[in-house]
Amino acid sequence: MPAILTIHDPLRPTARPVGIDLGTTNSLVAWVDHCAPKTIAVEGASALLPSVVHYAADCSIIVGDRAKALAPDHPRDTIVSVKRFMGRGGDDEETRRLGPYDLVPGGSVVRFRVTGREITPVEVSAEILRVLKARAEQTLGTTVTQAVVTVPAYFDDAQRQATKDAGRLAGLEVLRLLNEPTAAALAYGLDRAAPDRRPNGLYAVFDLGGGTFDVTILVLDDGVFQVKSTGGDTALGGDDMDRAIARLLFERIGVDPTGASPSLTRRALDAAREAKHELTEAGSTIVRLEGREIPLERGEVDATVAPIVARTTAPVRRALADAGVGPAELDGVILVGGATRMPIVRRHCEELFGQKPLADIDPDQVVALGAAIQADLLAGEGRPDDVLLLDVNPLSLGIETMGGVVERIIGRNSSIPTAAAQVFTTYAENQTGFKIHVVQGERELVDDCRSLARFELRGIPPMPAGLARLEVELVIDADGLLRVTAKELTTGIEQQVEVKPSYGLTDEEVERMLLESFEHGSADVGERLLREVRVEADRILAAIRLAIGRDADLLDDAGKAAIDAAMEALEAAKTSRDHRAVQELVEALDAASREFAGKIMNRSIARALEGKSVDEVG
Amino acid sequence: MTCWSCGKPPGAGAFCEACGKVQPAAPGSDHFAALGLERRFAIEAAEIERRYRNVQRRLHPDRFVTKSVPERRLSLQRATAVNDAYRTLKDPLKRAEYMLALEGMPADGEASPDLLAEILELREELDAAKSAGDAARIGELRAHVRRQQDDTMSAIARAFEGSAPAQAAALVHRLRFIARFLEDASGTVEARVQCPRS
Ligand SMILES: [Zn+2]
Repeated sequence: MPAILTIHDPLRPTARPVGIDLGTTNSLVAWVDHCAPKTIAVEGASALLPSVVHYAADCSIIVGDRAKALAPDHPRDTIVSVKRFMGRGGDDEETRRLGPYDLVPGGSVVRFRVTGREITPVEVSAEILRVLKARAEQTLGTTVTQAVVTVPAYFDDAQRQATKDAGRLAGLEVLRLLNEPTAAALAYGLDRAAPDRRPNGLYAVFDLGGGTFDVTILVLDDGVFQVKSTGGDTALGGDDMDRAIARLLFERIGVDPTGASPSLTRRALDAAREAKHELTEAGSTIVRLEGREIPLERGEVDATVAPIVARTTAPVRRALADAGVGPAELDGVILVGGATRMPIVRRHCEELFGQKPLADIDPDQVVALGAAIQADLLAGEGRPDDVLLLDVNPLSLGIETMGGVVERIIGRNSSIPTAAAQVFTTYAENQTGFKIHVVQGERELVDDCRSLARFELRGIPPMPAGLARLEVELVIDADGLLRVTAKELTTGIEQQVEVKPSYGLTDEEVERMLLESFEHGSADVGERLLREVRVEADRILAAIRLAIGRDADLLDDAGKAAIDAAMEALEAAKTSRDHRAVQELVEALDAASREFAGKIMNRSIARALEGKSVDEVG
Repeated sequence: MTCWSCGKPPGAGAFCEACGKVQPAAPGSDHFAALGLERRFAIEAAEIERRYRNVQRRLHPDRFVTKSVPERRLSLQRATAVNDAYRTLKDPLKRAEYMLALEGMPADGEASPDLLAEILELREELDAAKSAGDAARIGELRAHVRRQQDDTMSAIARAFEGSAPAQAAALVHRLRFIARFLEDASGTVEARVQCPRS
């Protein structure tokens, strides 16, 4: 590794934790710079990376704006809004909605057929995370291995697990899965620009994103953010509005949506989204589709999306009831998510809560900013003791009993981490195994709830029927993820618990994908090496620029000229396809800057010994 | 008792007085101890909230991310117990039932005929008001039952203070009916029939 990258500022760890908002429409990465959270530019100067992944015929993978541009011509090989498919099965209702994809039917996970292979939503999401990680590394000039990744508060266990798997696949240690509304509240509550405007009190977060809706009621009390209740709908968002508007457009041009080609479907959805954005400001717009010009008024689009907006009402009422508060008791309502820009959504929100909502932090960025703050806190770099998030589990957890009835074990909106134990007895002579079916949801019957996992307990000591007493403990950790342990009470023997998740990938599958992503055939080893050396080139360039900015006085003219020349050469060669040439220039720059690096190292050690930070001195 | 980490006496707090490391909860400690509260029924809701947040400020696993494995495990155990205590104690009905359990008193006796008759009458009135869409009447009924709830809770507090758990048990029974009535009378009706889509 180049010397400039190995300089350890003795007062600051080199790897930085980041916060990632893995959104339905856009994804962002942010970090905390001197106590202030900032988003990182990922797509030119923009912090928004479109959550679009294109699988090209030559096996290369393109993410972001360029993938989005390829979507109309390659609708099946370009995955848009992958978040909606996370943790879902192939036959899920949500999976079969209007969309251009070629899906493998059935199965415990969704599989897209792209350019002759099958990929899962976890792999698609990992591609987005990889790009965010690489961009953060370029900007920060350090490696990035740890992240707080946000999820909708109403995500169930399978959806959370899928998100965590995607992080693992992208080479990120997920420090915490943080609920999006809680992240937003954190960014608002710790907004340094307005420290006196967020007093202690009771707040509601209304988060309508591209694919999910969350509402969270929370208390802010001297730095403690305590979630009282949360509600939502993981299949409600701006995408539903796009689909409704696209249907309206199809109607106008006299096309049956079920018979439309994937490409036309994609273009209609994109046109619908664009019209929706334009009508946020304007009263009317003209949509171009299939060579036709379709005029649209805001009023008719409002009428089209009104039933979708109305679906936020029931979750809001229930969250308020669960928190035991009325709208009048709220000290503020925070808006999150791109869809809350729409006037009709703001009006509806105002009616529900009886007050004008707060939207002074960019609703697209606020979640990533909050995630960065939490990452900083967890890594022990932030404020010492004054900030803490206390969250809840969104859905009740239960166990299937006789007759397909659910026995509720942990109620919804219980503060996490939490645990609950239940004792079962064996029903047969010498029974050595036991099956437990865990479900999530609020309904009484197993069939109406979402199946989470089936656990099989083995190795129960043989005893007469009814004598073996099994204590099964369900544990929800601080990520909202479920673990199950079991113990036979009379012998105290811990049981092996074999988990069969109802949806999602098994540990072995994720492991295999991880291996595949490392190998990925010999054909694109060159491509991989090229990408890696480019990342390294960007990192060393960024690190040297940072160092020159801080310690220019350590360089003499000759040394400065040598480094400048080496930097220029590397900058020019970065786009070359020859990874060896780029590697050589990286090494040349390393050689040219080695003496400089040594001097910086000495200086920072000297400062550390003086007990002052570099910032204080410089 | 010695500290698991330094071997010195750790003192009574959550953290060792000698080395500062987090300690397991004292054996046999109850939900009240977990929140640092005296064992009694009459506690202000705000007091429970305040204690809960202050305890979690020090014991929550987020405070231990960079600490050693045993410290992380102990923090998780204690934070889980604190959440359990909070969930039980913040709800007056669950709090009362828990206190009866601590006294070894079953809380599931027979309802008196008088109580059943009273509840039945209130239910009929509620159903009539609901089907007539009479929001004002529903409000009145709710306010009436809320007052009964307050009275019952004061009576439960007195019964526990006077070491009369059998009397408390009968009152807890009444409180349970009241809670169920208020749930049905509140706006959660609409929400309860809604299933979360997943
Ligand atoms: Zn000690």
